Amino acid sequence: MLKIEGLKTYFYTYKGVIKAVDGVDLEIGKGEIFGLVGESGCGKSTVALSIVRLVSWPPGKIVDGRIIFEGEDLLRKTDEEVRRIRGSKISMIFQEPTTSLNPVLTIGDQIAEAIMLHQNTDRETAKWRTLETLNKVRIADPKRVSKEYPHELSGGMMQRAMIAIALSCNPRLLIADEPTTSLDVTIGFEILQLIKELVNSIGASVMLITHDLGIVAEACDKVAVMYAGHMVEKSDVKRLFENPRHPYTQGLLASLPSKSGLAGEKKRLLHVIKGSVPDLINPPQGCRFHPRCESAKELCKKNKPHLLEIEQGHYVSCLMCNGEG
Amino acid sequence: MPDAILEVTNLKKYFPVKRSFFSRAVSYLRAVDGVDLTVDKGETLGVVGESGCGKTTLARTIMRLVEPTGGDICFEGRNLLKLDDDEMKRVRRNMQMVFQDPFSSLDPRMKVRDLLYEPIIAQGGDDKEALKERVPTLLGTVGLEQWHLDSFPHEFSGGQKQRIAIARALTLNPSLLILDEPTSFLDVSVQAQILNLLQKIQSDLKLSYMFISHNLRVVAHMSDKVAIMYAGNIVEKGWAEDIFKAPSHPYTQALFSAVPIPNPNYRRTRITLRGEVPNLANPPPGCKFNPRCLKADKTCSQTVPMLTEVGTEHLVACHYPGWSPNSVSFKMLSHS
Amino acid sequence: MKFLEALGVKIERWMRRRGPRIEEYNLIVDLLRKNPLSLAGIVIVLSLILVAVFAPIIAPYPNDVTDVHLEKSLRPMSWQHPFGTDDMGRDIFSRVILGSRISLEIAIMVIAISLAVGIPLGAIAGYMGGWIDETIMRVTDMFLAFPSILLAMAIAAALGPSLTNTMIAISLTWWPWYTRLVRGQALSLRERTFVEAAKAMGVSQKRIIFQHILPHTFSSVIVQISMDVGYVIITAAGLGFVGLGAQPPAPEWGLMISIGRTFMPQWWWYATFPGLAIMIVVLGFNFLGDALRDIMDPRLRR
Repeated sequence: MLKIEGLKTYFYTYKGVIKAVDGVDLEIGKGEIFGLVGESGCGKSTVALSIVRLVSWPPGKIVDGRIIFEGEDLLRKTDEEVRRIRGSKISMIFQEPTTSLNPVLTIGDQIAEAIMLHQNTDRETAKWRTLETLNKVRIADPKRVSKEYPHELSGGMMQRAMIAIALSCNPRLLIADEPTTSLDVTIGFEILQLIKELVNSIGASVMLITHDLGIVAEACDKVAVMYAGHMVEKSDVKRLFENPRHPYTQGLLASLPSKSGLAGEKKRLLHVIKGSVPDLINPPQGCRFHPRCESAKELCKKNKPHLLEIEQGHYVSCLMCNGEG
Repeated sequence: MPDAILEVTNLKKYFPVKRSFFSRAVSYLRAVDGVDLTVDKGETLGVVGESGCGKTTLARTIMRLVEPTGGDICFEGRNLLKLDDDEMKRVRRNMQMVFQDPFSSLDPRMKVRDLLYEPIIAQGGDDKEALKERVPTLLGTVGLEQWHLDSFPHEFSGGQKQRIAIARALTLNPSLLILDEPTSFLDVSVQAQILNLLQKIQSDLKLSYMFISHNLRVVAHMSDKVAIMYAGNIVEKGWAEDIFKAPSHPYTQALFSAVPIPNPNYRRTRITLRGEVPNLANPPPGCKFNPRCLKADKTCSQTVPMLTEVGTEHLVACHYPGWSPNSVSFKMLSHS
Repeated sequence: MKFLEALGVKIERWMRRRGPRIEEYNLIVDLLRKNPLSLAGIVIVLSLILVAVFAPIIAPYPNDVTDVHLEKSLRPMSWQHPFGTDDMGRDIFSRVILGSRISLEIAIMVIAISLAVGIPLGAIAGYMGGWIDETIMRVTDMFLAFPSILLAMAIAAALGPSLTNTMIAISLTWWPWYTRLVRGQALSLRERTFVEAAKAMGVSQKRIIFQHILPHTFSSVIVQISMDVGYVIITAAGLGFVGLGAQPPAPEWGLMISIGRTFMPQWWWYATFPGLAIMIVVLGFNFLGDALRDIMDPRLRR
């Protein structure tokens, strides 16, 4: 349903060229929840913004690649065509609902606006569809809430409203960029459940962007791990956790506290990935992870690895793992 | 029986809520509403809660960055509220805080050397020179290098900044560190480094920690004892092992069931909470959790439950604590 | 070999620490290129300073402050007198140049006094809050309410009109702006985490104000100063125009316009050139202030 090939998005700043996304391939099938995981600065948000062409120039520009959505390459379309797709066939929700919602309009008005725009209805129909939608996102007392302004709602309710707006147009693809990061654990969990249910009921796919591997384990079918603008491992969720092959993925999993559960062994020293995230203006030669990799060899400093399938549906970008070395 | 380095009794911090500048207080926002806590020497007490539960206000009140409205704070045997300004200043040497946001807790105009000297200079005293000489060693302890002394905070990454903040907290040789969400703003891999560092210095320097966080996995990893806060009260506390294996308070159970665990085979019964966190200026009568609790009945909305013992040093504030057929069961089918 | 390695490491570290600063120079050059007005502003201000410092050397007729050459009076522009001569036969070009000293002197004095009084008061008021804040701000408001011209007239009436008295008058009405500015900054700065951290360490209030709060107000203060120089010069010129400032024969620009006014429109050069001087100088400081604000802003964001 969505296929990204060789995406490259660079940011041209006075400090130099930041190669935020430097050759990324991925595929999302129908009805799938696809997790895009990585730490800050790895480029995952940029991938999402590139899909819907929200990367503003200056300083950002999509330099290369193809984004094939429903058979057509989005990057070859005009701005106007992408604008029509954005919000109707592909919709997005962001991390901070406070900044995504218009503070001077009531919730009801904002949802109604989205409905009128995408479902082509009149104001009256839009109004009761709004109440219906608010019900669907499990907001109690929709009539009262629809008259309230964003600042009167809690974070969880605002995010539900965002989901309502995003799903009001029955999109094919929902891109959720860290939807639960700014919320409490209990609320975040409910939001995830809600997204899963709603998306199932309309048959949409989700690209879920997060830095939390716990969320990936809970909610996603397939997952891709990003590091410094590259995709380093891609697989279905079970296999990634059972058999992580890329040293970065392995390091990440090993450095998680309480990864077997809250009542696990505690107070052991966590495994640490030495060093820190590289500078994206001058990334390391060869494999971008090699300065921090414990199994790095001479070859890794010179040759760039590629994503190769090492077992069914499991791709790794590592010279040592792929046998390229 | 290890002795307590910090003992907080019935601590209260209320913020007056006024209708306008001139009217008198209409009601009080009860951020901390009668909290009892103990931190034992050499141990880590984890304080967990979601946003709005009052844990940050609790930390600031204990440090006397805001004055408590009621209750007692006993540190190393002395009641902090009975001390005058000078004595309190001296006590601050032993009780230091590491803040949540490394980006704003370091003055960006000061070099690292000045940041680390500042507490020493502020305290005055005869051992100034001796303490200053320790600073380079301290840098090494937190994993930074000597030449970093002349750098400014913006030249460092988030993890390094937090290391500087930790070093700064250690300059005066404290015995207790209060850490308010020290890793919340950091990436996972950096978090691991900082948590390891904290554990190492705790055992090397024999420190006691009060570790405040909303991240349950981190708290489960770091704590010996744990206390769960909800709407300004402690609803459950005790040994971490006991509580994480068998949470007794319905809120704790719901909270634990919602934590995402990075293991796709992990199974548990989810408990969904209805409603929202209560308004701290106008909390529900009786048990503050009762409107959202699945077990609640009339007693719960009439009487405030007191902390009662349900196991060894395991206290719960609930009229119907403990396991029931509907409660959470934790089954781990496989590890990673 | 090892020595070279160590040297290499040392240089690399030096580069890494200078790195952010080299980037800042790039940023400044970038800004100047994008906004030519800022360059104009810098050029004008620098020229003004140079002219004022070297005035007696640059001016072709340095003694025309006092000398009188009635035979040359009211001559139009020529090679010997690029701006013409005034009614006393004095070279206007030289007098404008010499007048720059007066204007700059007034501006520096006024701003220096305003800073010395305004900044500490503002920082203390903003940080301490409560009745200290209220008291200081009400006093500030009182001074703010005075229009400088009225105050200057009052002082002139009491002490006699002169340059020094003008400076005092303008200063008395100028310092409250800095107090307000710094107080606003202090109010937001005191909520910052590093201030809380300082309190938690036992740092004294005095030290917090002067070490932590004040330095962070510098960037907005500098922007304000650069704009203010222009406005002080205009105010002083205005007072001079009304006869309350410098007294003849001082080559103060406002005074020159005042006298030149009576010779309009036939001998138009008399009033025009000092007026142009004022205009260019004020514009220059304005552009400089804008440029400084642009430079400070992204830095603050970092």
